[in-house]
Amino acid sequence: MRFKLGWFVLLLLTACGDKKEFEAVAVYGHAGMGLRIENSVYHANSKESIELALSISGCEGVEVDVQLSADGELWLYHDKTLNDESTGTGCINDQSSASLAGLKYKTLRKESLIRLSDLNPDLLKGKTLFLDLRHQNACQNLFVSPQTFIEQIQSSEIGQSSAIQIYCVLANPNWIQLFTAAGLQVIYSTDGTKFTTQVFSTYPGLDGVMVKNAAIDADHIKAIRQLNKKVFIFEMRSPKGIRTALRKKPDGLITDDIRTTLIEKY
Amino acid sequence: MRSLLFLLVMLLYCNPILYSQAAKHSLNYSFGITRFDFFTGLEYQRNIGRFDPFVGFEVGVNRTFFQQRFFPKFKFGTHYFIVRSERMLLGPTLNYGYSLLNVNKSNASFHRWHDVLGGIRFLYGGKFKIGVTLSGGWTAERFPSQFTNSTETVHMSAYNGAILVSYAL
Repeated sequence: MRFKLGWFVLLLLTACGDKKEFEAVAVYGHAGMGLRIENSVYHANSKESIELALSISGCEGVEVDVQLSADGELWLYHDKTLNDESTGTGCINDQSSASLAGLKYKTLRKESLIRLSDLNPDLLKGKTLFLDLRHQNACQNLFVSPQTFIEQIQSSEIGQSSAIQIYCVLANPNWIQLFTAAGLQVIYSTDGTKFTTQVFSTYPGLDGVMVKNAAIDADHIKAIRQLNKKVFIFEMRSPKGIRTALRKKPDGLITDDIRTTLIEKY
Repeated sequence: MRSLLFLLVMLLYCNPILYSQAAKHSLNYSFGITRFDFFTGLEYQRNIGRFDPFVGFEVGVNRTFFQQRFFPKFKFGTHYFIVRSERMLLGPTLNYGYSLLNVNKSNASFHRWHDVLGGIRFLYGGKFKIGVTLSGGWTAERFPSQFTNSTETVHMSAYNGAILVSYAL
């Protein structure tokens, strides 16, 4: 009994430990407070979710999923179609902003779908915003126009703010040259299965990569950082997964659980 | 408000004149799941008629033991056992819980949760009873915003599902 009590007290005492080694690793919210996670409170990519993430001390920015509407506006939405998560149907790329403006997420709070321009630039000052640009219209199996993306980002209030660090996250390598030539900062997003550091010699203007946690190890990250390129890791949810990702010392974690990640970091 | 709550708790637990019935006491160990963590801890419960008011202390299992960040929770409330036989207790329960967690130690950013939960509790057994509590309700998470000097408040639904072992003192 005494042994058990002593063990319990020891565990409580160790709960006061301090962590310093991960201070250089930035924490960013995945689609705001996280994608499909119980304690995120709000729906991913909603204004409420993004603002809540940015108000938590230690969160240095957010990643949002960006799609082009039929009339060329930038809308924040993750899935390929509207059917499962919103009150709409079909693809964002086929609908006008007027029809998208009335759509809500299928949640208890019924958050609205928002444009990039609906975000308050003041909340993003001094923060990093990752724009994960969706290059394909899944309903028609067509590529959307990269040029429209570039024009819309550059003409937006957020895009023109020098106080906001913006990275365009591209999964389509054929777009990298276009975006870097336009003066935008580009991160190549990959699931990691076919990824090699060769991408940096093919596209020297690339600023870094965004890779799944399971697909990259510490040595690989070190090699990329030695090229003066950035590495951001995503897809980690459990404390153990987050701890593993932090130990790899990337430039940042795109996390689905900001609170858990901050506890692991500090 | 805090003084009133304190007075209420003191009256419930420390004033035998108000409750002339023979009191039974019990100590409960519980392990349950909530929206933000698994919680485990102890409750002290006193029987007054059909009511069984209680106070409890729990800790968040993942945060405290696996993330090394102390996550305490204090709670009080009452059960009202409609079915009260030799071996079985069954009835509604209502409680308030307060928990706090230092999410960012570099600048002491404490997040606080205020829960109000209502549900049902079932216990079965003799001196030792085993049981279950299922409850749902509302939580407000409050924390200092990094943009303003004010406190941010987020309201959300809450739930608790717990298994417990009760020992009649």
